[in-house]
This record gives sequence, structure tokens and C-alpha cells, in this order.
Amino acid sequence: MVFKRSNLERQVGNLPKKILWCKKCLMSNQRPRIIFDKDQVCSGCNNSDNKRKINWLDREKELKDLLNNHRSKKGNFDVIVPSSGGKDSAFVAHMLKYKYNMNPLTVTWSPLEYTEIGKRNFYSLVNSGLTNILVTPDGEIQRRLARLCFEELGDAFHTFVMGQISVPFHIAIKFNINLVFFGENGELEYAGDPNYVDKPYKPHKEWLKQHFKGVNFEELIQFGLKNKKYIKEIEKFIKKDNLWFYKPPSALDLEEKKIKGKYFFSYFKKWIPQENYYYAVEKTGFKPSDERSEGTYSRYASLDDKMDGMHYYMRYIKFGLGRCCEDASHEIRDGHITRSEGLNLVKKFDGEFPKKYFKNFLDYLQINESHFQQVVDSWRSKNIWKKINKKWSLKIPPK
Amino acid sequence: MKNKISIVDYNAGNLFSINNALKKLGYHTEVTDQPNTILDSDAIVIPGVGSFKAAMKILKKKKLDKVILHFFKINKPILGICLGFQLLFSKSEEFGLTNGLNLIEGNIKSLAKFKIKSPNIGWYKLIFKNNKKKIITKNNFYYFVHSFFAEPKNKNIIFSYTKIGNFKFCSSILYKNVYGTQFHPEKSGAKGLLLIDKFFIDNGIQKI
Amino acid sequence: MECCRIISRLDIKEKNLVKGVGMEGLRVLGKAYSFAEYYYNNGCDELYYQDVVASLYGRNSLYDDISRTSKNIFIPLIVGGGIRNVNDIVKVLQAGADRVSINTAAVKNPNFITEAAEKFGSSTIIISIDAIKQKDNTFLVYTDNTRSRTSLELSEWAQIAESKGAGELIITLVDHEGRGKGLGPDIDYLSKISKKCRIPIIINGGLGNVNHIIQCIKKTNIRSFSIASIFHYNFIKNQRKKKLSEFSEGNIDFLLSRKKYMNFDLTSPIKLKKILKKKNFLVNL
Repeated sequence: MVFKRSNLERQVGNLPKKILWCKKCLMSNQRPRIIFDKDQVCSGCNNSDNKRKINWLDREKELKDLLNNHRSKKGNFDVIVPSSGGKDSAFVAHMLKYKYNMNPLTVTWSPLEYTEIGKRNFYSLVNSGLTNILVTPDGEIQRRLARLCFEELGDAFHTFVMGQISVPFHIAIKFNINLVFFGENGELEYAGDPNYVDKPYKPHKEWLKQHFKGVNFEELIQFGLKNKKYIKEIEKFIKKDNLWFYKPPSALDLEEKKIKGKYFFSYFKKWIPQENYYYAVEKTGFKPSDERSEGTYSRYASLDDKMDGMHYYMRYIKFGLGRCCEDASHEIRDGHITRSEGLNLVKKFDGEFPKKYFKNFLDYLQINESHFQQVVDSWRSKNIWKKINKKWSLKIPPK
Repeated sequence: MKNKISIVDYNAGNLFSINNALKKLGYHTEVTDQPNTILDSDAIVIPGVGSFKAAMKILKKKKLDKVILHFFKINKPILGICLGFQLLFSKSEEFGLTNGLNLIEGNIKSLAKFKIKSPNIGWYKLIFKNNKKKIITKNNFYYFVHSFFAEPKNKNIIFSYTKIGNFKFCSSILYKNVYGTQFHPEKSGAKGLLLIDKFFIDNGIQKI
Repeated sequence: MECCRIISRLDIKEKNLVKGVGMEGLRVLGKAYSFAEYYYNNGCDELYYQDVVASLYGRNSLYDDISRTSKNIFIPLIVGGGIRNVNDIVKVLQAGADRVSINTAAVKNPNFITEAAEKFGSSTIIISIDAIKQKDNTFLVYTDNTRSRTSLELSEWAQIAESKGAGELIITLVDHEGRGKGLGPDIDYLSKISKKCRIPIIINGGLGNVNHIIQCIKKTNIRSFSIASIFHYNFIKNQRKKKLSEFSEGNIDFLLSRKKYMNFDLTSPIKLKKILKKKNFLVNL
């Protein structure tokens, strides 16, 4: 029986028919929510230009004022920093504690499967002087949800993404902490829906559309219960308490605790991922991987999860945009590399198949390779992909 | 007419350093493999890094071996550096026995045979044989990079020795109008340039 | 006694000197040539220019820097990055380099080493090896500026490179690079390699102070030291404030911020050599 996916996912169906590549960076208009101007320059680049005009001293003053209003005088935790142990959250947590005298509680939503280097860096961060709460969901539920997300949303990693946004806020409510500091504003840094651009925080009301691929969790679960044997099987275990991680707290609960939303450290401090790497190496014992990350050119980004590579690979399948396009575009906007260099990198590494943990991926989802291939191919839009002599290639590759 | 120093081009590695060094010192130079140009010059430099055998082959092919010999006979100054210095001798042990230009009697031998790490790369002191000819600088280290060394038959032409541990070898010679150095004066910093300069000044070569 | 060489390594991208940690990151610290000039005037024995994007473009692009250096700086210059074939070597030597450092191309085709050594003399050909320690404590060789892992073991490859005609080896233990903390217990591994090698070896990366160098001298046969961070961060310490307009590209945020980085024992080549000389080591001083 050939796999056929549903239309639960609401992004791929709404992409522009004509594929355009940004003239300045290496994003295409296939990235959801990206906006191209009349000069074929993307919103990420335009936002980035605005970044250059920012007075960072003023922003730091804003940060200090904000923190002064939240700093606990009783020695309680006063800020939550969602953290994987990676360089970016290490930078934020360490800075908040040691430079700005806050008392951060780092919250880690467990990767689907921790890598060795991920674990190592996690402990390194903790040992540099940061308290941590690690939340690890029911593995059975997690893995089946991951399969559901892989099949019907085109991304197994979505289970992780849901928790990544929700869990810190649940912990915030439980610990009476009303400040939650993420690292960077993804929309600003990577694409830039102008409505959400350049604000110190994103109100909780605005999360749904951006982070959940337009599908709320209830809808996802109902679909699973109705259509997937492997979800129906555990129906009685899917009780309310086991699922709270995947949904953010209600607006009411958040307002009651005076939690405004996701704060972005990148609003207050110029966000340069490469410099976060140098900082983390110096201050929190961060170590890069001993291997280049598949699909891109560096060894220091997004190292914690064995399932991570497949997440980027599915982005490549769905939008024709892999990890390297994103990394290179960010660096082009930061002025670190030229577009020409970025293009060479993208041609070399983008869309590289994540074979290192492929077997882990199949085992985790408990699927075989044939099913895997069918699912992947069901996500290839005819608009983006062509097949010649049994080989898939992009209709309009980066140029 | 201004004086000219010709740098003999026989495909033997980096000529540019010695050319740049001479230019920096203010000399008029030309990199050439043309016999007439060489013979017309007021002085020549034989640079070189690489294989003795291959170098002799090219010198012979371009008839530069005869040119150099003639240049020597008409008493114009010759500076031989590293391989360029070794080529002046009778024979080399590298890859069997190869004949050199035989301007100077003596043989080129392998450092490895004397248990010296080969190639020998580094800065070593020149121990001047004759105090009168000594160049007085506080720092007497010069840059060496070689796997072979020269053993002149006539010890009187040895201008300086150098020691690596207990192993002593000839690091430069001064013989009639020839100054030959195993080390690279053009790579030994300011004092190396001074050495080069002194040789040409002592031989009456004028700057631009 | 063998002399100790202090070599300054400059990683170069678009005429800028860049400095990573663990060979990741391309933080700009200034214009490469100004560092070279400073080191020449402050006791450096040798310069080593590495083109860090060469493997991406498949070619070395440092010709301008090499040429300028060769006209004004009269100490040996090693150039590496993107050297794929004999023609590449010719171009780099013609620009004014004295010796070339080859990494990826040699691993892909070891016979290239022989070809190059025969044509240019083995002392002109240096094989550069980047190695990262694996979970089982072996060191594997990486190519393409550490972007590709091979299954070659470090000591194995060192022996092959030597047998193929390399004149010298430059070995980088990537984990220590850029941290200034020395080589730790990995020095014993290097010691074994150096004792098996008949050609000289240059140690690159991780050397943070004179004690690290002395430890190398005492435990291994290595006498040549390629140093970057402690020299570069020292040089910029006293530089004037830089402007954004001076750099057309690159990660220059650190440079503009004038922060301090790591607690390196900052020093210059001549200061380092003075200490070595005091301790009776043979140096060009």
C-alpha cells in the first residue's frame, strides 16, 4: 500500500508557484512566511539591514531596565532560559547570570535522542554554574507522535519543536517565574514576517501560526487517533498529563502569571551565532563535534539530537531549502561571507542526506526504509522537484 | 652604465626572494637564462632549491654550465646559495653520483649518513674561520634548509663552519671571486641582507 | 643540539587574518600583512600562511599577500591551502613563497607528494595533517579544513607521507587548537610519532606558553612550533580602534568590540625566544 499523506500540514500547499532566490542571500521564496520585495530581496535581508542601524547601547539599557524589574531579591529563580546545552543558549544563560546578575533556571526539553557531544556539552554548561531542569517525555508517546509528525507534517522533529516552545512556559508557571528568554528571534533572523519583526518579545497569542505549522495539537492528536493504528493503540495512555508538554499553557494561565511571551536575547544584544560559539568555548566548556554536521559546513551548530539531521533534510524536501542555505544566508547577512562563497557552500553541502543517524531514525520511528522513502517522496512537490532517470533534482536550484 | 646582477634562472625554485632582497638593497637585477645577458652582467647569483641532478641537467641543456664557468674565469663575482652553492663543486652523492660544475674541488654529501635529521631545517650559527673576515653582528644565526652539505677539498676556502650538535660542516666558502653559502642569506632577515650587501660592495658592485 | 624554530601561523581569508577555536569560526583579527610585518620585526623565524577558504574554491588565493611579503619580509614563507597539483605549487612559489603545505590533495593522492618532491625538492614540500581524537582515543586524519573525516590514523598517515617524499610535516591536534592550553596527555602520542619520523615535524595549535614548548622539547623530537592565538591576540591588544569600513567582509564584531578573549599568556615571538634562550635552548636570537 503506497503511503499517501493528508493535508493536515498547512504550509506546503500555500507556497508561491514561481520559485525565486533572494539576490542577496541564499533563501528562496519557498520558505514559509518569507516576503520578497520588488528587487527580489528577501525579508530576512531587509530586516538585517535594519539591524545595522540599531543602537546597541540603547538596547542594552532596555535590557538592564527589564532585568531590574524581574531580578529576584529573595534568591529565587527569576528568569527561564530554554537550553539544549548548545552554544546559543549557553551564551544567553551564562550572560544573564554572570554579566547581568540574574538567577537563571535553564530548562531543557530533551532531544529525541541525545548525541554524545550533545550530552557532553549539556553537562559542561551545567558545570559552568547553571541549574537545570531536564524534561523527558514518555518515550512511547514521543516516538509515536514523532512518526505521526513525520508522516503528516513532514517532520518527525516537530514533536521536539512543540515541546521546545511549550515546556519552558509550563515550568515558568510552576516556578512562578515570569520572564522567559529565548536566544534569537527566528522570524527576524531567518525570514522575517514584518509583523513580528524586531520586538523584545513575541506575545503568546502569536505563536500558533508560526511554530505549529498551522495545526494545533488537538487537531493533530485527533487525526492520529482516527487514522493511525500506532496512535490508537495507546489511546488510553494519552491522558491529559502526558501531553501537556506539547501544548503551550492557556492564554489565561499565562496572563495570570504575568508572562508576556517569548523574550529574545537577540533583540537586546547583536546576535552573532559564530561569536556565541567563541563565548561558549571560553566560558562554558563548549566543544564542537568532531565531525561536520550533515547538510552544512560547520561543526558547532545544533549538535544535540540524532534526529536533527532528518529535520533539516525534510525542510530540503519540502521547500528545497536545506540547512546550508539557512546557515549561509545568516552568515551572508552578518557580513561574514560573500554570497559567492555561500553559493559554493550550498552547492557542496545543502540537502546532504543524513546517513550518520539514519538507522537510528528508522529504529526510533519503527519504520522500514521503504516506508521512509514513500513518506519522503510524498512531500516532494511537483513545483520544486523533478525526476530524471530515477534521480530527483531541484527544478530551480540555488543560483 | 649601471651595474647589473643577473640571477641565473634554471627552474630551480624560488628566485623571487633573492631578486626581491637585491632590489631592496638597491641593486639593479635581472632574472635570466640567456647566456649573453649573464656574461654581460657585473655579477651573478646562482640560487636554488631542489635536486642536484635535475639542476645539472637543465644547466647543461641551457648551456649555462659553460656560461658560469666562463663568468668565473673572467673574475666577476658569483654568489651561490644553497643548491646554487652545491652545484659549484665536483660531485654530489644525491641519487648516485652526479657531476657538478667543478669550479671548486670537493664533494656534496648526505646529512642523513651522518645521522642528522634530514632535511635540516632551522637557524644555526656561523662560526667564522678567520676572525678578520668575520661579520660582526650580535645574532649570528642564519637560516638553513638542506639535505646535503659540501666538503671542499681545500679547507682554506672555508669561510664559516656550522655545528649541529657535534656535527660540523662547511656553511660557506669564499674562493677568489666566489662566495658560496649553504644557508639562505635572503631568508635570514636583515642581517642576511647585510651579508649579501657586503659581498657585492666588497666586489665593487654599485647600486642604482 | 637542534635549534628551535618559532613560526607564526596566519589563517587568511580575503586578506584578513582570521582566528578560530578548534578550527571552527572565522573571527577576523585584522589585516594579515600587518601581522606578518610585526612578526618579522619581532623575532619570528618563519611565516606560515594558510588560505582557509581554499578548499571550498579549490584554489589558493593568497598571491597578493605572498607577493607583498616576499618583497619586504626576508624570512622563510610557507603557504598552504588549496594546493591541488604541480601548477598550484608553481604559482605559489612564483608569487614568492619558499615552501608549500599540502593537506587534502596529498591524502586523496599520496603519489602527488612524490611528484612534487621530485620536481621542487622534498624540503619544499610540507605535508600538513589535521587530526581529531575519536571516542576510542585514536587520532583520525581530516581533510578539507576538517570538513571531511578519513579513516586514516594519524601515525599511519605520517609514515606514508614521509615515505612518499615529504620534507617536513605540520601536525595539528584540532581539539587543542586556539585554546592556548597546551597538548595535555596527547603529547605522548606525538612523541611516539616524532620518534618514528626521520623528517622534521612542526607542531601547530594549542601552544599557549613557553612551558608547553619546553614540554614538547623534553618529551618529543619536535623543535619547530607554529603559533597563532597568543601572538595574534597580543598584537591586536595595542592596536588602534578599527572601523567597519576597513573590512569588506568577515566576522569583525569581536575586533570592533575590543574585548579580551580567553586568558591567554599573550606574547610575541621575540619574548618567547628570550625565555627559551635563558633556559639554554638554542634559538635564533
